[in-house]
Amino acid sequence: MRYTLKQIHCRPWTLPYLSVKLIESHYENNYGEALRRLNAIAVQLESLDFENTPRHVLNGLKREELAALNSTLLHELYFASIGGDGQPTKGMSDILARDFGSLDRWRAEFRAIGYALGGGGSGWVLLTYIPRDGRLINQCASDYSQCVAGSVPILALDMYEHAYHMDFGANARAYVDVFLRNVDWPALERRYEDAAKVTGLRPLEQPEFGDVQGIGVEEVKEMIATGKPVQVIDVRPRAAVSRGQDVAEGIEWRDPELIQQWIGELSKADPVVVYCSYGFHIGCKTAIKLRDAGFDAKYMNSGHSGLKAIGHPIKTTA
Amino acid sequence: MSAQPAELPFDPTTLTGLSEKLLRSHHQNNYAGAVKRLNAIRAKLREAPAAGIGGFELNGLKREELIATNSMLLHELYFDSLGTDRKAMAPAMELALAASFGSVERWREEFVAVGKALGGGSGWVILTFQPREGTLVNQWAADHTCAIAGGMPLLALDMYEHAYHIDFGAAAGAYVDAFMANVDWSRLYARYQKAVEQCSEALTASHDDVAKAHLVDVRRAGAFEQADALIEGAEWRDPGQVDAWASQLPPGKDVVVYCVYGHEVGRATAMRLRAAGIKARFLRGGFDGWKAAGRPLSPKR
Repeated sequence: MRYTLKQIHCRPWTLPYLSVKLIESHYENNYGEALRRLNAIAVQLESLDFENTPRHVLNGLKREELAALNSTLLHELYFASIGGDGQPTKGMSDILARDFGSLDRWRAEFRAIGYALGGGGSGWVLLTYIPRDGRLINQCASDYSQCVAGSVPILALDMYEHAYHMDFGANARAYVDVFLRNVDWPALERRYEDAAKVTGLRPLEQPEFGDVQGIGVEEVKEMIATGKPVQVIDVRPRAAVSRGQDVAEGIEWRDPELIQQWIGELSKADPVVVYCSYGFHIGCKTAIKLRDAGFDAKYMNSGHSGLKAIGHPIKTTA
Repeated sequence: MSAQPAELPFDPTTLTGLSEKLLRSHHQNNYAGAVKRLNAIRAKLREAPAAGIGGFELNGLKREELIATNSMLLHELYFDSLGTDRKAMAPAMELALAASFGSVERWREEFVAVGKALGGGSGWVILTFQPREGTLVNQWAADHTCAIAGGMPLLALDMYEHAYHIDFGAAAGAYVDAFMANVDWSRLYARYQKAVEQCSEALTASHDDVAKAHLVDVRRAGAFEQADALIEGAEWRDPGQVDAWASQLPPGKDVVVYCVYGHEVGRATAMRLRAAGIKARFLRGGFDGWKAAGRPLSPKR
């Protein structure tokens, strides 16, 4: 497969304080070279005998492929990022305020990362959508190979010195400021709309427990910490508890096999949360039994492992 | 301790094909900026006890400290690599490159090609002395943090775009050629000698050690041609071709090599033989010292 050239996404003669010479050199030499290199690597990879290729050859080619492909993609996004009047749209201002506190706070962070990459460094500042959390972050990349997994970059500031040295010399700050004056905000907002359609990893489905409500482990921790009336019970199987020899601080363990012996201790006035090892069937089944008995019961996602993963204090029972 | 930026070791108006504007910007902004940053990081590390800050904060500071430190050191080496001395490379420096790369030309081809391959990105090409094997290698670095452990950098070509964009734009190849045209070979040779001497002190053999050892004359081919005598009991081998004869040495026996004065030719050869598994040392004072002490020679046949 060959990668084809994309026409430059901005009009080079319309960019205040960025010379046509700089933009042309950037597009023809740096973007163009990345694409040419990418295709040369693709040709080599196509003809490679993977069974008999020494690992250093394959490592080298795949590393260079990653750098060349990201250089191609990020440069295209860079040229698409500029060409506007630098005036934030209402829609984007609201979105950035949602994720960063305010438009100014976003701008201050984005700009500072760019300044920090100046002075003889190289890299990218990317405004990136994270589908897992449905939010934007500013990502700092010190070379072409660094990108947040599964993210969608929507604004790219090239901090390699080829992006500014010709016009600004070592004055990286002036270049960052000029970039921000040239941002095409309506186009950015459209890219955000496209990015926001991307969803994160699908949760594991447990159709057999479809109507049992789960509750997040962070939420349970918060309820305990703030003294909300809630009865949290560890219902891991006896074997799991004796193997692990630890329980969460402040939470009682009850044997799920012997539910009839302890169900009478619970109060129907306050909600009940039960959990097993990882958030699978034992917790769900116990929650169903409690609900059938008239309790406001939920199971906690991620279980005992989840509590440990978020750093809830644990005591050993050994 | 606060690091002080060094002056440019040459007059920036006198290099060929590298403008004063470029060299001054590189020195003042990129090099001096790195020194300034390093001092700020050191101050921060002094005031923040390592145990009292988060692991990610310490990681961040130490990473930046490494970057700024190497940026300072490599930039100093870069500027020291350049000069207006147009003297040709010393024969012993040619030998050192040929012994590791096959020939000076092969070395130059590789060094230049690595530089050009880094064009449009960033990084360094560093000719480095590698003490484990007594050899020279062209080291590729994609950023300031890449370095061969225990290696001693001798010649540094800055491939960050600040090193050339002002004069050459994206024409990285033309910049690499201009760099090569301005290399001060005499200073490179001096750095090489120092590196070899510092790494080989433990391999000294005295005149009295020679009697018990297998003795090899490793004077440079050009120097040996002019000579009329050897140390008694020695045979000559080309120090540029250690791989070709190392395996012919008597296994398990102590070996002493000598050059003319006991400097880098004999020392580096002893190191290369050590890397090949031979118990080699070099003769302190070399052929000259032996002769001056009135020790026995045999005529060259």
